[in-house]
Amino acid sequence: MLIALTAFLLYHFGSHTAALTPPLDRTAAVIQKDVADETRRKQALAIVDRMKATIKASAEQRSQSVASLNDLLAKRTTPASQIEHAAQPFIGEDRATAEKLLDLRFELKSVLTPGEWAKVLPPPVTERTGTKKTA
Amino acid sequence: MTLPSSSFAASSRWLAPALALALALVAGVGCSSKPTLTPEQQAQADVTEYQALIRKVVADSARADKLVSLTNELQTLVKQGVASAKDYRAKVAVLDSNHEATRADYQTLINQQNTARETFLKKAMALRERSASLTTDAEWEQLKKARLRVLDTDLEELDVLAPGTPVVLTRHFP
Repeated sequence: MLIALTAFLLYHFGSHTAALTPPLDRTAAVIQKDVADETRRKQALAIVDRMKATIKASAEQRSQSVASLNDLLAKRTTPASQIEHAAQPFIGEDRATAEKLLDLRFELKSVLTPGEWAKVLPPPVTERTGTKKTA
Repeated sequence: MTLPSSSFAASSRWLAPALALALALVAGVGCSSKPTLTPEQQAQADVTEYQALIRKVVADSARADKLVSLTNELQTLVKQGVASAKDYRAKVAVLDSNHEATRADYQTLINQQNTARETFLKKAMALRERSASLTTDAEWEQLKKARLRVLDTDLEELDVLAPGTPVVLTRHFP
């Protein structure tokens, strides 16, 4: 229960970044395949690389703080105020990373046509149900 | 305490088949490495097992009852949190796919999620505080290492362990 609670808290500390992270390897592959203009293709791929770097830096920054937060959560007597205080860097970092990813999202938009955009970031498929369809 | 003979006779009518069924199940488990439980049955078995652990660790039944109740509350909270997160992600994905989406569209969603996140975090912290107040240090130490797999499964739906996900989770748990 306490492990799940910790996971739950940590997930919510980073919920914006997680939501705003597209499947970047797939995005890059589609850009490579479907953006014919070489200049714009290179620009778009560079933006995706910056997205990846942003996410990697965010993960590294978080992993440095997660141990100390876990120590606090593991201790029965840690007051809520102390945990909330320790969570602030996570929440602040999540917001900052989400802002950077949004900046890059709009930068990517500026180099792709609407037609290319539709291929790179297609409308989401309906929610998965957890069951696999058979052919 | 002894059973009246009529009750015993009635009991024995289902007892024999039940025993046979139990033996067959045990034999079945012995023959196969995977029990054939549905996900719902597995989840229920998991919860039952976890509740039994609470009762084993916390000898005081009144406190154990309250901790079991808190586990149920946590399960509800996690399910709501997972549903909310999935809904948020789905809405972001719709905006991502829309070439004409504006920054303001995203900001509206982010603000909504900030409010939801604050609510979930407050509830989760309150649950933690109540759990802490109901346990001794020794009980806490024993319970904190136990995993409630059904909640892990819920959280896995958020792909918290997926590569590239910046939230570093269970690998760093105490």
